[in-house]
Amino acid sequence: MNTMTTIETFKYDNRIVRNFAVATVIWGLVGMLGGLLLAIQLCLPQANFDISWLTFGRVRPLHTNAVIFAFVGNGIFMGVYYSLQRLCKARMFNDLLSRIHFWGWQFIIVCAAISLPAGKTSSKEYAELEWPIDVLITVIWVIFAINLFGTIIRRRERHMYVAIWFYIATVITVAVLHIVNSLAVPVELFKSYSVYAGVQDALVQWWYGHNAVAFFLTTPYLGLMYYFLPKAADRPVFSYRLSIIHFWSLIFLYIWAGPHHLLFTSLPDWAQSLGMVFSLMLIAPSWGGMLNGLLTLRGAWDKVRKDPVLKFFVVAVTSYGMATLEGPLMAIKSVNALSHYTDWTIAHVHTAALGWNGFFTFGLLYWIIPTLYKTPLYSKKLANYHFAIGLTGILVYVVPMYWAGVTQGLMWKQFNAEGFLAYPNFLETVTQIIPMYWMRATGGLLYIVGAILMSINLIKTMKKGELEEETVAEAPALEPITTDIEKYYYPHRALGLKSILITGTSLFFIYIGAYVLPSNEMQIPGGILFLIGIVLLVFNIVKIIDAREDNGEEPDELPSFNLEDDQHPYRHRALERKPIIFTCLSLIAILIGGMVEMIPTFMVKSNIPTITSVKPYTALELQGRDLYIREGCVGCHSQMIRPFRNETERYGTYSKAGEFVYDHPFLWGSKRIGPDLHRIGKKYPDAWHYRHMIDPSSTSPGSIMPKYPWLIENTLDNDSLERKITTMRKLGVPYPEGYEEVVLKELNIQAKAIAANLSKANMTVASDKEIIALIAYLQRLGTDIKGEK
Amino acid sequence: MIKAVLNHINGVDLYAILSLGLFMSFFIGMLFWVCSLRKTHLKHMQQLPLDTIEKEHSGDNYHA
Repeated sequence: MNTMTTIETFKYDNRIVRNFAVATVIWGLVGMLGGLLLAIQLCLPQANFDISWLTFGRVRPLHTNAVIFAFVGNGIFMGVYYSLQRLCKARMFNDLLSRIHFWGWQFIIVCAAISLPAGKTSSKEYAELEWPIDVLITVIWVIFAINLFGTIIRRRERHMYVAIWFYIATVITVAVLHIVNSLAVPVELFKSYSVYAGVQDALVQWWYGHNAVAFFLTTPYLGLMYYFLPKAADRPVFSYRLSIIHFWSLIFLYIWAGPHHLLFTSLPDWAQSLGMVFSLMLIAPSWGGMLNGLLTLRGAWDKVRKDPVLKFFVVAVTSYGMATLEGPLMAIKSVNALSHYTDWTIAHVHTAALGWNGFFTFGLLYWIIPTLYKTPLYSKKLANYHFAIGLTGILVYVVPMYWAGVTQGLMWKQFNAEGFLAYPNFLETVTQIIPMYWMRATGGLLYIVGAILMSINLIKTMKKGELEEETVAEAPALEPITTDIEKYYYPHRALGLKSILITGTSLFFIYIGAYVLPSNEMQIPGGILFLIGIVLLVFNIVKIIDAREDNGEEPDELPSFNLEDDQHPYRHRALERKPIIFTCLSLIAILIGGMVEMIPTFMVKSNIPTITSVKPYTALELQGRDLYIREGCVGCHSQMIRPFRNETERYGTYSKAGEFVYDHPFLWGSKRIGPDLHRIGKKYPDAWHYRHMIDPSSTSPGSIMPKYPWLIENTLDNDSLERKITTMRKLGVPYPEGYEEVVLKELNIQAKAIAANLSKANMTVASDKEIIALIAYLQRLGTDIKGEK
Repeated sequence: MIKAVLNHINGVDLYAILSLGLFMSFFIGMLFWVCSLRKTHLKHMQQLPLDTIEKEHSGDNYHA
């Protein structure tokens, strides 16, 4: 074989990077403006404009989805498409796929921007989009995956740099999370019910929610950090070993920590403890990664002083460190007792979102746009102003939110000398922190001003320069490998597919075995299956180790690409040379945690004790519940009373797991901008709710809740009611056979009773209006077991 | 409560041992692997992002 290598010339696709960069800037501004509107609405309820699609409940999911999936999402793709090509020394696999990916993603964002304000939502946080859009996301994600793996397979660099590992972990984990959490049975085009109910739905949702943060907001950006930080500082990463440890421990540990979002809820206690312990362990890899980033700049701090790109990066990495220390602390049960449901959480996520994701994206844009346009940045001074204003914005946003969170949390818990709640009126604890809300809005405004300065700066830069649509590069082709060399370099290439199949089968056996083990009849077959799985797995691992040991003789001629310095035997690097095996290992690492949490929660009946008095919702209540979901009430009101004395005093008996068995989806909420509603049923007369929905300040002076006048005007849409009942029955809700035929009649009887009730209080409203259904639902909430305290 | 729940799972001790085993072996294996990597290899890997092979110029010119 010829050791002379052929030099190949090829072109990097810069156009796609530019497109994603432009989309990042545009959607970033949109998402941030949405956030600003929300911030203002909380101090000034008039800013809801009494328009349904502009109310807080509907704009909130728009804001979170826009900043996560549109702003950060496009930022990820921009960085990945730039760095992947260069790290693989190859053009993206297929230009058409790149384009479909780009336009498909933008189309999804537009669909979200229309459907969310229209109230088409599944109500599950960061997964609000309804099923047709979910399907589209899956398709586009798969296209991205094909493009990514295609490029990796066609690479001209034998080794995969750690950034690529992070990209691969992102692609597979997001796919798993998205599909599992979005499983729902459609009722109509834009309405579906989650296949999970209550506690299980909550567990799956927060397994998703937590790991969406991990694998959409963290791992891809860590990959970008490992590429662009050394690049911008012009020095190698501090420790490559540390980056490997960072990667594997992060993806292995992160998955387990989801239940820390559900501390003190009805989730089984063991799962909560699991979430807390793993959260604390997460500090280690996170800080390892942060230090690795910061120490890369050792001896280059003079550059940081001058270069805006590095300035943004340093603040971003520091924010990553702060948020990943704070997160685990908030996952400690005793801290969480105070922090949960308050603005502390909002402060925490914005440290991460504004600091880590936002500032890293800004740094990235300031680096990539001049590079692509072959010209220095239009104005370094302007970028420095952006940095100063943005950083001030973050502080003015975050500090008051901590203040507000702690203040309100303490007020909720305060008892007076007589043993009564010191602030029995929830609203009192809200009006107390309105000044903080004003400051937060100011901080957000500053941050946006900075982003606008950046947009101007980038546009001017783009006008000044000219896009280099393709960058010409050259690299030696990877040599075809002879049998000798193949045996040497790829000891288990032949083993590859077989070993993946064996691993898959053994895991399947273990899973099924564990699945049937708890039932009495199936114990023996379950145990046998489980053991077979273990044996197969061990056998396979031994085979792989064997193959590694048996490397064969060193071939006479080695391909030149690897002959630098004295490095050869490549046994240890088999892992990263093989993206497929690598992908499987990452997949296993992320599946273990999820399986340990979910199997017992789904399998063991005693985890969710049945309560005989808990019955399915009536048709009218179900309709009301769907309105509650449509209006995004869950964004401000929890339905989960924690077992604390101050909460049972304030709201009533604490929430039990068995109460939610018919809740598809669960509506526990994660934030109390308003009070908990789980025991609101029968607390006030129907007329109170009616007045409250038309004008909240008429019953609760000073309330910041929006008005809902359209609920009185809109006629309740019962077209899909029968399908809703049959769908629910499919999901295990015990509606009697034939119920769907009498459902409308029954609905009307209940509706008329409520309308009669209202007219007794001099409020005339037709019984077929939406408000009636919502009142029916609210009056039902938590009443199944209200008696027992 | 946790005991009451766990006692309902048949063969629950297996879960505990299995998870501890998996957990420990994961980190021990990773540490062994990381420590066994050669310096030359690590150096090569570290240089990958800095290795600009663009024909005419690297982007760094615009960030001086």
